[in-house]
Formats: sequence, structure tokens, C-alpha cells
Amino acid sequence: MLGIYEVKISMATSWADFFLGWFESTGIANLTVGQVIMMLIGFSLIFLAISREYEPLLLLPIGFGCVLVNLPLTGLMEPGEGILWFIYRYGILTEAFPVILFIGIGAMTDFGPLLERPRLLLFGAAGQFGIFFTLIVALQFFPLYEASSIAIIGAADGPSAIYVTSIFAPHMLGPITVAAYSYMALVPIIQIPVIKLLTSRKQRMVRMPYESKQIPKRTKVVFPIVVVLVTCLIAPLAAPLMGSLMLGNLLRESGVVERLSSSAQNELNNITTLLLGITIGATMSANDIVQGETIIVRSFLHPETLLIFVLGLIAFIMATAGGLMLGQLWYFLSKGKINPMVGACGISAFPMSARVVHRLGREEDPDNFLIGHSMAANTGGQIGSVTATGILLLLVPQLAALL
Amino acid sequence: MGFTFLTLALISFSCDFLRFIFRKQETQKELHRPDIKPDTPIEDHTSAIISAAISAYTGTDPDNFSIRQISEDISGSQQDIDPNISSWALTGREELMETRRTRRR
Repeated sequence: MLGIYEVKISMATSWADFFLGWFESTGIANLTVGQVIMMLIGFSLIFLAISREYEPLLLLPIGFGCVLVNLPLTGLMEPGEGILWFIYRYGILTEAFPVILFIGIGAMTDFGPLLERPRLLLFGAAGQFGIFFTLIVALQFFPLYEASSIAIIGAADGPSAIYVTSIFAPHMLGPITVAAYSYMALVPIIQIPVIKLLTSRKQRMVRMPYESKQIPKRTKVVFPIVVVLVTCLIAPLAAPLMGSLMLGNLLRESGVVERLSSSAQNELNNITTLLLGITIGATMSANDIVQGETIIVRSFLHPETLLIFVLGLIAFIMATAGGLMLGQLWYFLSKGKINPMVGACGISAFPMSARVVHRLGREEDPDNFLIGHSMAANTGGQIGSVTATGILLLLVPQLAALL
Repeated sequence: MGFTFLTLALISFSCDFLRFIFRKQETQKELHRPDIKPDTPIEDHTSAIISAAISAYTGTDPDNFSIRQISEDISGSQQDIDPNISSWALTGREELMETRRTRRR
């Protein structure tokens, strides 16, 4: 009798242990408040992508990656084991994804409007003012390499931001990338007040006659080669980004590799965007991701994340202001023939920025069509951002050695 | 910042140089007027189809109007639009047409 009783107790204990063990191995028992907050951030990114169509191609996979990595015990970003860690290791830390992405961007970009008015390329240089201004501000809070990574948000160029951050401060990749893409999606909201603040109504109404010229095919073919030569001779470290951007453009303009051009624009670009997005999302972890004693990815819920977002916003505003300041100078030098608003397109957010300026021009005067000039300045912004990235990569290590 | 300006200024001048080299090829775009075949006789069924279309579009009785002449575009319907026109230029063109249409109303 006693023996039977003992057996029953023993079975009950083992079942309790079994269920307790099972419960402890579930995500529910291991869920932390930080992970819940991060999942909510992930869900809000997914919501913004689907409902508001804010940069959906990237914010959707980023949001989903963020949710996935914050589910407890999944081990997706476990160094040396998780599948997302492998994609992160070989796609982002090797800088492969941004470079591949640039081939697709180059293949999709028509530099025709810029070739019709090459002088507007200078707006692309002025639009990089945000990077250098923010660098000085960020240096008050961060060391040089981290400050440079934050400042590059001002390029309004996602792949460039990822490229620089993966070299200088890979542990900050999550917040910097999300800030860069979020602000790119918010270009109409950020740029309009800055433009209205820095230009008068009279200036916004300036019409710029658009005379379309046919650019010879030879010019279009030689252009990417010239850009690569000039940029890489001045800033050799821009070679991976500028080289891939202009390779993509050469595929497009040469007209002899239609299949490659099409693949770069579609399949290559789409696959890279998908993997890049989900991996960036995976860096938005509630906890530090540590390998040995080194923090590979810093927790997204770090107080510095908020500061990164604030500095990123400053970078975007100052980038717009930089372009507008050159626009104002040009307006006075040309005695009112250049609409200073076009300067605001000197950032790399293509074609959102050009659309904003075109729309503002039409708001003041329905017959004012600035789209051609805006597009030219906007493509100039793309070249400018990659050039500025190369220069930053070149100068920052030298500055670090000096300091 | 200065380096960026210098680089882009160099690229900008290089573009001018390229245009100078290839300037002979550079021509102003011209909008071609469609070639129209003169005195095309109207066939009855063509006239009926067009009358029906106009009637449906305007809500006018076909008996209240008559088609006197049809000019055939023998150069292709897309001749006045450059087939290589970029999407943003096309958007601008459509917006302009829309503006004019709105004003007319």
C-alpha cells in the first residue's frame, strides 16, 4: 500500500517538473518588459509601412526583423549560431549589402536631367552641409567614430549610412539605420517648413524655364566612368559605393546588357533590400548582443538611441538648409533667375525631395514646373552623398590619429 | 565640405567637357507633327463607330451632328511623345494638362 502511494507521488512530481520545465522553456516565461517595448516598436514600423506607406520596402522587413529578434529564446541573432546573425555577419559587417544595393540604385537612376544642367550638381555638395554640421554637434556627446556614423544620417542616403556605420560603429547600426530611413520617409514633413522658413513667397514663385535637350548616348555612357575616376582619385574610399552606383548606371546607359540592367534593378535590388531590412531589424534588440566580452550590437533601448534620433533630425534639417543657402546665393548672383528652393533637393532622398520642391512651386504658382531642375539637383544629391561618404571615410581615421 | 564641393565642381566641369566633345550629336528635341494623309475618304462603318463614340461621350443624339472629315494619322499615334521620355517628365506633362483642364472648367 505504502509502495503504491509512493509511486503516485513520484509520478505527480515528475509531471509537475515536466510542465514547469516546458513552461520555463517557452517564450512567455522569458519575456522581458524591454522585449515587449521593442516588439511594439517593431509593430509600429510595420504599421507605418503598411498603413502610411512610409518607406515600406525597408520599414516592413525592419519591423518584422525587430519583432523576430525580440521574441525570447529564438537565438536568431546568437553569434555564431543564429541564421540572422550569419546574414548580418556576411551581409552587413562585410559591407556587401549596401554596395550591392547601390548597383541597383545606379541602374534605376536617370542622370539625364543632371547632364542637361551640370551646374546643379553643386546643390548636391551644399546638401551635405548637414553631415559636417551634425558631426561637430555630435562630437559634444559621442566619440569621433560614433559621431561620424550619426552625422552620415544627414546624407539622407540609407545605404551610405549603413556602409559608414558598419565600418565605424557597427554596434549602433540599428538606431542609425532606422533613423535614416524614417527621416527619409518623412522628407515632405521635414523639408517643407524649412523651405518656407528660408525662402520668401516671391522666391518660391521664380520660374525656371525648362528646355529639354537630348543628351547624346556617348555622354551618358562616359558620364559614370568620369564620375568614378574623379571621385575615387580624390576620395579613394568612396570606390566601393561610387563604383557600384556608377556600374549600375553604366549597365543601364550602355544599352547592351539589358538583362543585367534589369536584374540589377529588380531581382538583385529586391533580394538585397529584403535581407538588409530583416537584418537591420534584427539589430534592434532589447538586450546587448555580446560575443565573448565584446558588445557586437548595442541594445536599442539605450538612452543614446533618443539622442541619435534628435541628431539625425538636426542633420536632415541642416542638409536642407545648406542646399537652400547655396540656392539663395545663386538667386542673388543670377539676379533672381534661379529658384532657391531647388537647392533643397541637394540631398540624396530621391525622388521625394524633388517632388516636394515641385509641389511647393506649384502651390505658389500652378504654372511653375520645377520638376526637371529638382530632379537634376536631386540626382546631384545622390552623387554628393556618396562623395561626402568617401571623404568622411578618408578623413575621420586621420582625424582620430591626430586626436 | 570643401572636398565635396571640389569633387562635384570637377564632375560638373567634366560634364561640360563631355557635352563639348559630343556637341554635334546634341540636338534640341523637336516635337514631330503627325503626318496626315490628305483627303481620306470616310467609310460608313468608320463614321458610325466614331459617331457612336462621340454620342456616348457627349450625350448628344447622333442625328444632331455629322462627321464631315476624318484625318488619319499615318505616323503612329505616339509620334508626338518621345517614347524614351522619362516618367517624371511624363508626370509633369500630365499635371500641366490637368491644370489646363481644371482652369477651363
